[in-house]
Amino acid sequence: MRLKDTTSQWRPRVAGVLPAARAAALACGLTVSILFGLFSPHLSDAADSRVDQVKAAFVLNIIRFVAWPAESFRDPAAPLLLCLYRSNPHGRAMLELEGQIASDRAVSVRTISALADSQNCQILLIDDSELAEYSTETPIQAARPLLTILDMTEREQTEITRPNVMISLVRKATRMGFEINLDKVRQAGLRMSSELLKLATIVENGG
Amino acid sequence: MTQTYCCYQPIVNAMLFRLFRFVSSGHKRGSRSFGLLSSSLISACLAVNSAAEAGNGKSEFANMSLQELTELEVFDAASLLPTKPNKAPGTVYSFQREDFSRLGVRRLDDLLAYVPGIQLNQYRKRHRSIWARGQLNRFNDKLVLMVDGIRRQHVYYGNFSLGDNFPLEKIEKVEIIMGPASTLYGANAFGGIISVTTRDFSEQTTLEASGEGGSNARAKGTLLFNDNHLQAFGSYLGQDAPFRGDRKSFIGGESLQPLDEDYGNLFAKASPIDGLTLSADYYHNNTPFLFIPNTQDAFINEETLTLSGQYETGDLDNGKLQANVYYTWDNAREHEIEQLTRRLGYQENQNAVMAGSTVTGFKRLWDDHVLALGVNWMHTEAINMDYARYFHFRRGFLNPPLQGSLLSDPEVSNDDFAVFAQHIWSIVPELELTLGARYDHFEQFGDYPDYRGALVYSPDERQTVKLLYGTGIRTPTFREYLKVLPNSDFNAPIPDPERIESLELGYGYQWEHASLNVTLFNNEIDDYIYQTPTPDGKDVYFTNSRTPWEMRGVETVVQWQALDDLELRLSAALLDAKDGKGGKLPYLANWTGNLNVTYRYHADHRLGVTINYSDSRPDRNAYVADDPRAFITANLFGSGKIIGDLSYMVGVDNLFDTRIYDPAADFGSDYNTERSAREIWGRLSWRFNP
Repeated sequence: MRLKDTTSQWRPRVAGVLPAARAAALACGLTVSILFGLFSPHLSDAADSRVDQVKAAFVLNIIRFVAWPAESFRDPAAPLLLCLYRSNPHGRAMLELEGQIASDRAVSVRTISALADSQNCQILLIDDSELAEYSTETPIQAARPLLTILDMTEREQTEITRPNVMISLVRKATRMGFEINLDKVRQAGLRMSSELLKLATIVENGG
Repeated sequence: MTQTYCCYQPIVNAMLFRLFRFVSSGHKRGSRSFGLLSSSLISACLAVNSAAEAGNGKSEFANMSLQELTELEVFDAASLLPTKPNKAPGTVYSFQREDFSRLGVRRLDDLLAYVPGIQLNQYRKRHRSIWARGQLNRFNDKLVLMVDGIRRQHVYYGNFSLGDNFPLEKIEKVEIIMGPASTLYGANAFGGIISVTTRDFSEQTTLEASGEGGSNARAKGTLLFNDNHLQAFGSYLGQDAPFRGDRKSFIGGESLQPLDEDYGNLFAKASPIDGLTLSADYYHNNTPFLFIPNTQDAFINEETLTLSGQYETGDLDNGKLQANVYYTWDNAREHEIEQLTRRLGYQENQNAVMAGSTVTGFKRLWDDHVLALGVNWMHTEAINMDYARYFHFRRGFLNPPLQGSLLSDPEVSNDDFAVFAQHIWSIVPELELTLGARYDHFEQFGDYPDYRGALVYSPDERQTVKLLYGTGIRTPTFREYLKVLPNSDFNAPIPDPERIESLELGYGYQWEHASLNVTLFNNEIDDYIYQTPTPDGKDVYFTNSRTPWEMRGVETVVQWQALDDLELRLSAALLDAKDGKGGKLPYLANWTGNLNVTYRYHADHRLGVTINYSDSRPDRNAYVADDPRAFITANLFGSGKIIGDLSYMVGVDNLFDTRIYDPAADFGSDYNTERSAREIWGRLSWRFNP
């Protein structure tokens, strides 16, 4: 063992370091990245979080297991219209469902300002913040094959009245799940695959 | 491929070509090239991004089945409450199960390399030491490991290991909370918390099996049964530890230590009634003492069993109660075999028990306030800490052998209690205040209060600003305050608990396809406990620093989905660590970081590369043979589906077999320890719903 002479208690041994150039290069890289990002001209109005992406994936997967009566569409090539009720808090995540295929049809997404505008919709997605307004507009009995999905994942407690809501996205501890009101689904003339029902929590009328 | 992607194919190819040309020329260009390359890569990608954003941006979840979606962990909890990650009152890094394959990691400590501010250091036995924000330690006793809310540690050393002993196949999520979280999780949550959540029960009955093989005679198999009330998991791994035969021992000469090792784990949990979960977790590991000198071979045999029960009932609006209780039998035996005669040279037992219970109540008040109140009890007890030394590498076989207890109090038993409270106040929808307080009574060390406060401000959907202040405490482990010094006459004083005061400022920004998180921190630690040689140089003991140690730094993570199928992740950290006299602390790197690029070249297949960088780690020894220089390593990996529910992962860790030396953070005379060599591996996984 050969020791080098040291004059201090301990001496750091450093090899191959160019601290100033390296730090400057990395700092420049990060700064440029930040500047490009901050001044990018294509920022959307709403963030696209992981949670929203998961919700969008849930919606897409759910509607793939639902069958509408043939008379729900004007022709065989008509899209499956997903209508967002009054607002879209999920940002681009939900809009990116545009063009996805479900039940042999392309999904089309639009936002409607009132229930009266939903005549051509096959799916209606309602955010929890719009539930009160929806409750005042919706008739007591579902009269047509419109699949209504309510996003309740921001609530801890789901024991509330959900008139004319067939599917509710809910939070289960740190995960997402969904509840299905089968009575309302049948009254609306929709059919659901057993693959969907297996993963759902089935709720009674009034929930 | 989309039209948009095709137009930018040449640019992507140029970036990848430059990246791989650099990597293939080895790390000799050093750190400057790394910085220039990563910065130019990011800048070029960002320039492309403005046009590429017009792409259809399909999320990674679009290809998942409904069942997979129901099993995703979407929310995490740094405040014991589910909340979206960017609003958690702390610096939280969260990794889900799908991230393990996306990042090509097979071990938890490999995953920690993606957390800025964590440095890994190879210890001379088998585990890797985890240094969070410059908190040096040879055993991971300045962090807390929780599995499903239950504390896990080896009682004697206060250590835990996150290598092959901890199979990732049974893990759903890992959260790393940096900084003192003592007000919630108790003593020793000093440098932070590593919180592991095991796989949740499955709505459908599921069987999962995996088989892994690789270099160093690696063979591993796992099996998981999962349904909505019962889960059972088993794992076995046998291999030669992936270290070079010509590695140097901790005293500088050769080591002849055989490298064969094996790890076994059996885990089961059941939910017999709603809200109640019972679990049993058994580990059996046999590992080599990697860097033992050539006069002996040494082995570590560990066996632990943890039984736990957890109960949860209610909801926030009406009142929610969480309770857990656990009991751990923690047994370890280290022994040495003299090289020539193959006779037993040394053995020691480190048998102990640890038990505890926590009860926490939560209630939402007046819509905007959530209160939590809890009590905690922890019991630690030494059962058998005997040792016997029959052989000493300088003195030969001893007659009579040296025998005794590792601890000056062989029957030590401690009961520690605490009460804690947390208040979360949503002042306005954009601003949330979290206040926490904890009062600990330590049977050996007295009473200590700790506090924590956090302001989280989210002015819009994209931005989050966090300001955090917290204090924490860590009491010495059995080994730190009761260590017997058989080789020295020095009478070591009992160290005081170490205390940390931490201030953090964090900022996060979320774009459509990118995110940026930056954290600045300033930690001051009083009475830092560290290992040091006795004045006569014949043994080592633990002592407190005479002056406060200060650690400050910057940590950042940038994630960017540059194209539909191309993702980048850059993490970087700068650390400035000083003792109370302003002198730089040794063993720590200033700059660390990594760059991960993942490319999905097919709907079901992806390829990734991670480049890791570390500054040099200054060593206080002056050994010529030591070489803790700056380094760059690369890992290459791929994953995907073969057919149906059969999937694969393959990879090469340390692609260019770079030799890396870590300083022994002993403030003494140990030589550097060399990190593991290149590993080539492959895994098949199969999932079946009977």
